[in-house]
Amino acid sequence: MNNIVDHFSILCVERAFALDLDALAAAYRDLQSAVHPDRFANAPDAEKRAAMDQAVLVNDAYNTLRDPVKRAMYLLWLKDVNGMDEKNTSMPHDFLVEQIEWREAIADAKLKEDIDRLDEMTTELQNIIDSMGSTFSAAYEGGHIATATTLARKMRFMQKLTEEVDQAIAGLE
Amino acid sequence: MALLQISEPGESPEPHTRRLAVGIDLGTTNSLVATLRNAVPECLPDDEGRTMLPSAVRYAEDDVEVGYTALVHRGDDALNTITSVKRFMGRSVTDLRDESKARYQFTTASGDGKGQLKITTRRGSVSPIEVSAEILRALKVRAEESLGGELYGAVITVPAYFDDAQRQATKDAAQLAGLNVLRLLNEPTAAAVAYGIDKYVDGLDQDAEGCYLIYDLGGGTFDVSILRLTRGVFEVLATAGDTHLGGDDFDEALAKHALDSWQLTRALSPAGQANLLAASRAAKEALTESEAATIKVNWGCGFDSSVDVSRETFFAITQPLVERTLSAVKKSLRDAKLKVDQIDGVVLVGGATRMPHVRAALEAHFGKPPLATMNPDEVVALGAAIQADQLAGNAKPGEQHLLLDVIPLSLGIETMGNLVEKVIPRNSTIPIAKAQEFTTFKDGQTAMAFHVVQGERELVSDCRSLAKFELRGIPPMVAGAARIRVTFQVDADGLLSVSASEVTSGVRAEVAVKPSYGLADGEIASMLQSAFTNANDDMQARALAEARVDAQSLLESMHKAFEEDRALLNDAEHAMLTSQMGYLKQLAQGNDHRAIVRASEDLNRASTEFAGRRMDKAVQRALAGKTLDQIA
Repeated sequence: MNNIVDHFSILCVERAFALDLDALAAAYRDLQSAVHPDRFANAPDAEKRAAMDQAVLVNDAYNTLRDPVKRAMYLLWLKDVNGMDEKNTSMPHDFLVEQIEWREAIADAKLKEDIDRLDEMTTELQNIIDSMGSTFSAAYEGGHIATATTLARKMRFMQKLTEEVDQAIAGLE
Repeated sequence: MALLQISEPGESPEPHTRRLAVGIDLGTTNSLVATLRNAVPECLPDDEGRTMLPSAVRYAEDDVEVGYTALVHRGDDALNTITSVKRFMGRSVTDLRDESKARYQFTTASGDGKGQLKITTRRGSVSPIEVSAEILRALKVRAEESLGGELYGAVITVPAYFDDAQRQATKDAAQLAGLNVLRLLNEPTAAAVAYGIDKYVDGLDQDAEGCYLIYDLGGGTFDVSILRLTRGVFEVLATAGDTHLGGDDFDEALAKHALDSWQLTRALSPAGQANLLAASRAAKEALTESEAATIKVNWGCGFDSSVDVSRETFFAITQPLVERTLSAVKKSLRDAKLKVDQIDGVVLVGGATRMPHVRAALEAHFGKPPLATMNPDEVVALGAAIQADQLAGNAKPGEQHLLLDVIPLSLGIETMGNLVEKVIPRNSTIPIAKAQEFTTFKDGQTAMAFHVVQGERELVSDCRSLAKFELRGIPPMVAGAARIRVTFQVDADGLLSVSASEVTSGVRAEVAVKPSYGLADGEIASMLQSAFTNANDDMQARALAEARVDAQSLLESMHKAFEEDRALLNDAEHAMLTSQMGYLKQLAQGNDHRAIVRASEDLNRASTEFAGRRMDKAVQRALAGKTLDQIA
């Protein structure tokens, strides 16, 4: 491995948004099989510490790459863009209106104890995130980093909504 | 070059001896110890052939009784007979539920009711850690007598949903019982290993892969874990549960039903309460097979009460408890991002899963009957035994499996306004480390206090407080200029340590998170000391024996590392390490345990670089056969 070890190279996949998630998972399991602290339970302390550090790195890489929003943010970070920067949160007006509508819909379903509707919302949100992901991928690969950054931030908003829906369902069950 | 002691190729310097390792299920109601014999895990029975040891400890006038003997006097010596102590692990008096509060006389070390609680007995006040240590010690003795030798180590199981304080308390108890803890293992994960789901599950294809839900309803805790199994890798996707829900609650529901029918508001005495619970439990167990049972309690003085309970009534009064378990099941599915039909099998663990309405509820929810081919009481201990054997180094490389477990509850830090900033979210795979940066908010501020909490709620007061510590000596700067980096690290046991440092100046502070709920190290040392009273010589001998064993195992691993990776060292490095090994070997034949420990530490330090290179090689090997050009 050369000096620049990023999450993609750790897990042996190409640096791109579109990933073969099965290959990612397989590489993750193979790597953990080699470095997990359980493999070094009887090793000298130095090896135990090294194993712990490696296992932490591998977990960190896998957790970042398997989640589409984190993966997008990480790709931007590799281009020196902090998509999570809180000073830079201005979003298009129509997107914000849409957000408010989503929140109202969630609150409404929660009030009516309509778990089926909330379940549908989870699927709808997932589809929206997926399609934003494809657009992000194209923008990123085409070098349109500003567009990609806006998309990644939109994905993050959508993911937050998913979490709210989850919480609403949990509250009703 | 120094004269080196080199063994013949293929001949290991120390003949490989099988290490005695056990798995221990430290349960709320019963505890078990298991080991691997001829590749088959089995629970070790007592003299009378019973594998279960009731988790009961009685502080009698002149003795401490454990297990069945302790239970004999549960009725007439209730205050000194401690049962279900697992519910008190890592807990303070303020955490207790009302039903529990009535059972014993509690005190607390710290006066404000927030420290680890203690239970007052005729032999003084004892902590739950000490009570648990008695149970563990009894199992250790059973194992050593049965296996004919000293134990190398043990894997102790804990509910997946145990928080950091409860895990730490469990590890402290094991340490106090003189056990070398190889790993704390989550109970559902242990059960999954025992099922060897990837190989043996009845009715499924051999080497079946897929997602399994482990439903573990024990005596006092409820856990659900979802695992994905792929070629020997057990990956926990999500876990949920309730550390205050178990078979005991079904007993209590029956007891309450009985009291209502007798128009009593509460049992007549602690002894009466104990009798009532025992009678309720017996009725619950009978209702698994029969349509009706009778709860009968003798209150003493020739006065007794009884009531008949039908299965239908029992199901009706306990259905809310079953519903609570189902809502945890649903939560775990959402966290794992799986639908009901993506679960390939539901595995039952814990004696309480024998109740027919629990099984029926699961069958209705998943549309297929749950798997129950193994004894639900033993399966956790059996899985722990398999893991212990592997961690002790007895398993052959080709037969090794891997467990990737998660942390059950989010870890965070208090920020301004009683709010929690989550640093590590729940269901993160361990080991894990995360850093978060904070800054000072006053000009010239030189100290900063941190409060570490665990839980899902947004307010600090709704989460469990784990530790408070301070970083001092921050160089005075204007507000907002200091960069305080707080690092959380959770190891493979699920235990947290936290450190803080100021990035520009390098000032550091570190805490292992175990102050208020676990025992301080000094406290353990003094308890160990009192356990070895009038035995200073014994302690010396023990320290020497331990130092020798550690040195021996270090030398063995170094020899093995040389055999495998001599090529990673240049001649000078090799000679240096070899001479240090020779020195250690020489010391290990002497009687100075401190010198042996020092030399072992030196060797460990000297081999750090070698260890790093071996780790890189292991990584490369794991990636071999993959598209290596992608890595470069």
